Amino acid sequence: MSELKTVTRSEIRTDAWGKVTGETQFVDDLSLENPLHGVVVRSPHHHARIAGIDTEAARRLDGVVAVLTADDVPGTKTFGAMIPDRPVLAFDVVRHKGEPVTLVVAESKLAAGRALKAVEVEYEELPPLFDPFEALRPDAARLHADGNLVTEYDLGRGDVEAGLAQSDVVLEETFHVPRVSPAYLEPEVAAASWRKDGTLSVWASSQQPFHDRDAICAVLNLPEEQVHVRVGAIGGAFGGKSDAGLPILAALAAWAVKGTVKLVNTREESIQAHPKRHPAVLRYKMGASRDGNIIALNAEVHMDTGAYASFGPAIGAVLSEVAPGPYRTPNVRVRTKVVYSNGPFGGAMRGFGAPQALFAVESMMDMMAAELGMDPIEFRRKNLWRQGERTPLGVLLSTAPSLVSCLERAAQERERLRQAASSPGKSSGVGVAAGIQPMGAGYGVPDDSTSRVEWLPDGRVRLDVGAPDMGQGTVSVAAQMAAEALGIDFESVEAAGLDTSVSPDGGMTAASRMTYMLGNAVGKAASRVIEALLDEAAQALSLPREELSYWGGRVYRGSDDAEGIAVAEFTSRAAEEGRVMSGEATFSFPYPPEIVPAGLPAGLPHVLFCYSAHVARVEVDSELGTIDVKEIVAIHDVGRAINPVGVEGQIEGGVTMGLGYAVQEEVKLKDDGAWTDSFTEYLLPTTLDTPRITPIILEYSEPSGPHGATGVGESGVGPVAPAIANAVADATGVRVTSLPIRPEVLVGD
Amino acid sequence: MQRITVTLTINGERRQVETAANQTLLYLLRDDLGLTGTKDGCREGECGACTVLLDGEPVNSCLVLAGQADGREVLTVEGLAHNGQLHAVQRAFVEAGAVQCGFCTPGVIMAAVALLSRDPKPSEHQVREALVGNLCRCTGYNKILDAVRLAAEEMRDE
Amino acid sequence: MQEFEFYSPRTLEEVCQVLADPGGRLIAGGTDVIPQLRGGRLRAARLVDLSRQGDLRFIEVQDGRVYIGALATYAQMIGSSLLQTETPALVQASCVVGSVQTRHRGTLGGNIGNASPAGDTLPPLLVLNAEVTLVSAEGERSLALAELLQGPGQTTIGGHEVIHHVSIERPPPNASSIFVRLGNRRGMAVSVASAALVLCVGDGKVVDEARIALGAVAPTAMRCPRAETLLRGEPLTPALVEEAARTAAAECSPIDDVRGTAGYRRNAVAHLVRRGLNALAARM
Repeated sequence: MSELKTVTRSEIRTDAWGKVTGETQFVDDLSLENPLHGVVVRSPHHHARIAGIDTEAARRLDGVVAVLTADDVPGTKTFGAMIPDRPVLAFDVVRHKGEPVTLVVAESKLAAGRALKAVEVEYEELPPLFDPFEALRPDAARLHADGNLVTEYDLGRGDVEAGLAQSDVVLEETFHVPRVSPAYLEPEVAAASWRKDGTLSVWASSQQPFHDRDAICAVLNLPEEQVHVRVGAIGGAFGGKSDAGLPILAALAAWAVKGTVKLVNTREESIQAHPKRHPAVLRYKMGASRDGNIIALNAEVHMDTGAYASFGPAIGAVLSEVAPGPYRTPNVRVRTKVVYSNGPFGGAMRGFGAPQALFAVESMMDMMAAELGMDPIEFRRKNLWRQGERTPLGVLLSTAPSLVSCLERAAQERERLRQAASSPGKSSGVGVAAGIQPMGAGYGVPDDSTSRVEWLPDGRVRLDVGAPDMGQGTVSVAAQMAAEALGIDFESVEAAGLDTSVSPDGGMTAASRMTYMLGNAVGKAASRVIEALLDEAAQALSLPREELSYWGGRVYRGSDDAEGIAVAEFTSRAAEEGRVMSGEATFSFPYPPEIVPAGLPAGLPHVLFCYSAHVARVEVDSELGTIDVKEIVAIHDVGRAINPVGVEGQIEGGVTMGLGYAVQEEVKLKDDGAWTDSFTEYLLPTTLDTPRITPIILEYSEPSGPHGATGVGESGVGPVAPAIANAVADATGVRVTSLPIRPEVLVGD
Repeated sequence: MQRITVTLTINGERRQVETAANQTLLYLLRDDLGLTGTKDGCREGECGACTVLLDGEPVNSCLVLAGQADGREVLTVEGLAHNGQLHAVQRAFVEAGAVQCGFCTPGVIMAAVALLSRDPKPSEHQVREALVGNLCRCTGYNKILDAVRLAAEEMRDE
Repeated sequence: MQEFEFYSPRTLEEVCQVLADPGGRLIAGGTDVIPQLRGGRLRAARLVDLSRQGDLRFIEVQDGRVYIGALATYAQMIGSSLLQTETPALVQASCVVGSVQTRHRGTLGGNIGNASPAGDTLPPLLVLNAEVTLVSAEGERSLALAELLQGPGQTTIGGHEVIHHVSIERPPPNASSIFVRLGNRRGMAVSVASAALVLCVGDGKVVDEARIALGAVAPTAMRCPRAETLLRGEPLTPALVEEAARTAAAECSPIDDVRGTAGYRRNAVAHLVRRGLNALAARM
């Protein structure tokens, strides 16, 4: 087994140097030719009918080039990730505060600001609906034509009522999880430029450039070839930039004025009008036998998707799948309703339903363990998924889930954390939670990734993975895998810029899929580009193709050739003659038929999971109710760490996002009707709130993964809140069932 | 809208800029001077992405009016490298894996540079205090703290 | 951002002259003013910049009083060995305001003029019986800080007036002071409840002087006269400390808001005051 050259090494990522000098260009940094400024007039009301829009005064102002409304949209006037329910610009009714109503295009920020104030929109306010239970009542106002229920799931197996009846202990609890914002440091931004040749160039801070292109084409009635979406550096995304909203507006503006327009969101616009993690109410009932077997689990979930569906249905599916946890419970029923409201709309956000579900189920596990007098780790171990059995959704577990190992390690870490001395006046507690994070888009949903590898004249290689790096280092990791596959130095792989008009479609940067998908696609593409090279070499050397082989940047003639010929010989010749040698390959997320059950809705099931376990130590000030999270140990099986420092970074960042979810973050409605839409009120963890996080990487090779790798992008988030809640219960005896954990609850106010 | 003329020294170079009276230093840098290394994350001084050094002190440039920077010295991330050599803090961020999306990075680096110029041997807690005004959503801060420690060591060796 | 005119006068006289015309608002560090302008909570046709008033950054002692210029920044106050000795509570409060970046720009005068119910320098200034001196084209006047603070964001400062400096009497040598507070997170947090305390204890543990001021639990920062009266002249026992803490909690009038409930804040005050008194007593 030859030693790996670059995979498993913590190579410095290719884009790091530009970022520390400030040279890396994010979309708002780009030097565009004569850019006009776009600003959006947004609804100040949660729910209102639009009685009239008067743009006359605004249009007459100096420097104002255009003022656009829904009437100016030439193609389809609505769009959406799964259901096209969201207007590009509102018409008839506005359904959330901050919804785009009018788009102003002006020559300067000053003119745009003045025009913003001059647009007159007449609204007739309507009573807002913020409660998903209220929204489902028969007499509730219909927020959309087909009513307020977007979709529902009813999944499971066995007979849950019988199971509960047979159980020795039945516990019931209701959990509340909040609406939170991905709150990447770079607010959404998009720019578009109408070229003289009739093509539209779009630069977007986006996770899904191909989807954006398709959405733009539908809105502007343009063919695919005419719209080119380019993605460079993204200042964080976490799911929130899987949203075509701003790219569409930039494209519409550029098309309307036949020029170049840039739109940049403020932080307030970002929090109000771009995807949030779905808040939910989860009602759980768990039954177990005295000796610690979970017999039945019933979960009823109401997920508030806000004003528009976005990825709500898919998130409802994942939430339902994760709801029973990684346990072999024979009788399971999960009913999930995805409901409209007048809140900021929910969409993709790191975890995609798993954080909500894990908070509920991993809290229930500790509660049940306590009720049974069992150690919570032991209780989990006893009930874990087992190789050869089927999950509650029916997926055959063909390999042993590494959760056993994650929990074993968690047990050791829990002992270590329990030894830690508590600060004076505080109660210390340690809690554990297990985690599963489904990978990929799910069965029945197209999930492909195409990569292209191309020889450069000097013998180096250009890699185009067709999927954006939103900061996690995917493209650099793909380059490592390409280098490995070709046996060349990591530095010899150049990453191409992403442009939908030339790049292959790598699919969405989401669903913890990038390393897995790109690695596989890149591996295949590398084989093909080697073939292309050997064909070229055979021609050039006038030798039969079968006599040639490739290794490590050189072509070898027969088995006696010790030296070989440098690739550059052939690639430079081909370049001179105008030939490009490339290899392209598509990898599709595998769903082996023997493990996938029939009859589930599209997007279910998932067959690959990222397994983890977290241990958290907290100290609680029982008088003030404040919680200090002192340490979090995050044990993650990633299959294979292609770039260990990168994997640690993803775990640490994910855990910190989970920490914010657990104790600080919430997009709340204030008494004055405003949302907490600024960083003074929407509280992200600072350096003083975030403890040392200890990532522990386990590597249980996944046969279908590149070098055995699975994923890690989302899995850091889910187990944090239940681990902290379990630690708080350990410290205080108080079981918290709502996030974020408020000090009021711990002092009994 | 009133226009004002601001004369200030940016990364060692004296510049005279004509701009709007309500312009902030952040946008004087980004729009008027094309120095886009300093970023806009919130415009209310809560995220630190816009951190620059003003007369050697770390400030949120989104909260400094352009006119208030008149006659002052400003150091931005673009001004850290000397003779093609990156600042120790910049190198340390790369080496410690402290850069993910990179949007907070210039601001954090400036805050770290300010800290280390005052205190060459800060404790971890002091580093956390000095960087409390710089939010990062990607890294969880762990490797940022490692980077600052690494930079401090390298700067002491130099 | 709103449109406004910007003036940066060279002298204080010029500042006062410009302020004599209506529509002008002062800006110093800008850490409150700029977000308020952006959010529309403050409207100004003209901003009058105090950046050039280097004369207003002093921190000095004279005739038994400590004088702090209105433009002294939090960073300056934290770094002042004079204030560290004379007014540790004020220094402790300065340390928790915002971030390092905020503290290099924000000023004492700004914290007073902004008059947030949660302004962190205000309780320490109140327990130090601070006086505020204002200047304008019409002259100079001084008044107690307690009189100046009227309500959330409201003061008796006229639109034409500038805070010149704050003065506080030097606390007696056997006095000890402290500032404690609670926020919704450990860093960059607006105070949910805060307390500044001064305590002088004499022979037999008898309280010679006790002053308690609270922040974020009333329309303005406030003193606790009933709790103070309870303490003065009595031996400092745990039972007395407890009673004083509960009395202080009863004296405030917190509200529910996005940062916390009224009940939680009132409860927090009792704990903060008790802890503050115990910490000070332990030093003696």
